[in-house]
Amino acid sequence: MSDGVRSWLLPGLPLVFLVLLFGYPVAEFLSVAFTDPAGPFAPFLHLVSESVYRIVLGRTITNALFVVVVVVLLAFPLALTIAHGPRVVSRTLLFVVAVSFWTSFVVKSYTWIIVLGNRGPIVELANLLGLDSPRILFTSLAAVIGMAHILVPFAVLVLVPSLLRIDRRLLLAAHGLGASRLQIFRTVILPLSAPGLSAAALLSFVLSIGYYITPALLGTPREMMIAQLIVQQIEELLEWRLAAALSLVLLTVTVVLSTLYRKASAKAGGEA
Amino acid sequence: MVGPLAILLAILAAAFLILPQLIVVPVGFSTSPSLQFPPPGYSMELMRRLFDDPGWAQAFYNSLVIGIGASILGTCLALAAGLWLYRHRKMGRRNFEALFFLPVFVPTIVSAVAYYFVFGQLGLNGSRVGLIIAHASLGLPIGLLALKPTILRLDPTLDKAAESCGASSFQIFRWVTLPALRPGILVAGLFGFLHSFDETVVAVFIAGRDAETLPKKMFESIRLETDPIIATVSSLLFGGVLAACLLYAALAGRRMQISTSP
Repeated sequence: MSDGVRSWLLPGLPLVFLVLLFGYPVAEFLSVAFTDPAGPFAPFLHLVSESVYRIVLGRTITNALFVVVVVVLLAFPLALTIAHGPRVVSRTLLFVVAVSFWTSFVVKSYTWIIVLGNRGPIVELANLLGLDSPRILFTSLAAVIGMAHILVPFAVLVLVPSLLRIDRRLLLAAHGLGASRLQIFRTVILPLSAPGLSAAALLSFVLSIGYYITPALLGTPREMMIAQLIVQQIEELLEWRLAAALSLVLLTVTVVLSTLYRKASAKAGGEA
Repeated sequence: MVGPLAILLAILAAAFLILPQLIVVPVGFSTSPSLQFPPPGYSMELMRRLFDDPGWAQAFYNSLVIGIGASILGTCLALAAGLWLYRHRKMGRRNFEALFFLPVFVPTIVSAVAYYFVFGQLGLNGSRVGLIIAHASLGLPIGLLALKPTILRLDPTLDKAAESCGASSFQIFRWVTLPALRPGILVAGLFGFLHSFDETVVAVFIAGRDAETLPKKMFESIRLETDPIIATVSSLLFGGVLAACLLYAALAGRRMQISTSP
């Protein structure tokens, strides 16, 4: 086999496969959005004019923002301790994160149906304390908790390499110059970990706006997110054009934010 | 260097990750037909029901077959793409890297619906082949990421040496390149399998009845009923992950001891 043939065959095979069996289905489905007899942009005008869609879009963004806040608050101390904490603690925490990372999405979502359910430990605890049973399951809050639970390990894996690059001598120097722990955190650790933090936050946001399984299991159709809306258009209403238009909106937002993520993670020094 | 407050917060976060998972296990061995925690009593009844139900065995079998198929196909494609992109350090080729990572930029729900739409016309819905194709495409970027470091570490002088000894280009690939890449290929294959084994969204749409995978069956069962048998399945899957991670930690720990011992 000559070098010329091989240099085409190597990238050619996977490219043809991806174009035919991934690119084509996606393009073919998305193009349905423009096939409305009332005009190519009719589905998009419909999306803008009906408040239902604006509400779902708004809820998707707010839910994702809540997810980002929870994920960052949990992942940052975890990653910091894994990167710079005592060896035994660091190893144990990393192990917990790895187990959580490899556990299936469905298993993790199902977990919260038991934990937040009306015979679960949270309700049991509330009853013991003489409180009213909290109704969390099948609300947006449950969906946010479930998505954050899935995304914390991802964020930790993004954060740890960027935190490891913080020179320990800087922390020692700040300590030697009499800075308190809070001061070290605010003036040394936080600014140096900003690129890693923004990468982790963007990743959590991008992934959670597209989630279907977790909000479908833990949330409610009354408070649906955009992925559930796409599925509803197809399965219940057979509105393929609207589903394609919604998918195009979701795809555009995802691509724009993913590009930002690649920039942020390149800045944080990690490979995207 | 990390203060006690940060460590405390980190432990609380770790508890948030792992405690809910541990709560599922006793429910999987409960005597109660509801999702009661703590359970009123323990038995193996749910486990017996799980193993007596051919539906769950079939779903597990489908997941295995599809996972292995997607892993082999995806790794071969990733290997071809990776060798072209990263070997010989031709920097111009790196500009095409993003092309092979396209599946990452498309939200899974969009890919899932797109496959459902097109595979419906092609008659691939409800077939294992359809799911293998979909999972191989979506898993290709993961395989590429796993292979990248090993391909970048390939020593070009080995090729030259083999060539000067009269080896054909196929012989060089088979006896020089491939053995050097073995660790990366194994990791790529493992990740490809795990990705497919866990993948739920595409499976929910295109697997149908005939190619139903484990995550798809779980998803549909959870939506239809509150059967605690899913807690049993969940505990088994979680136990598998826990065992694999423990094994890995033990092996990695032993290797570290060997390498640090004089």
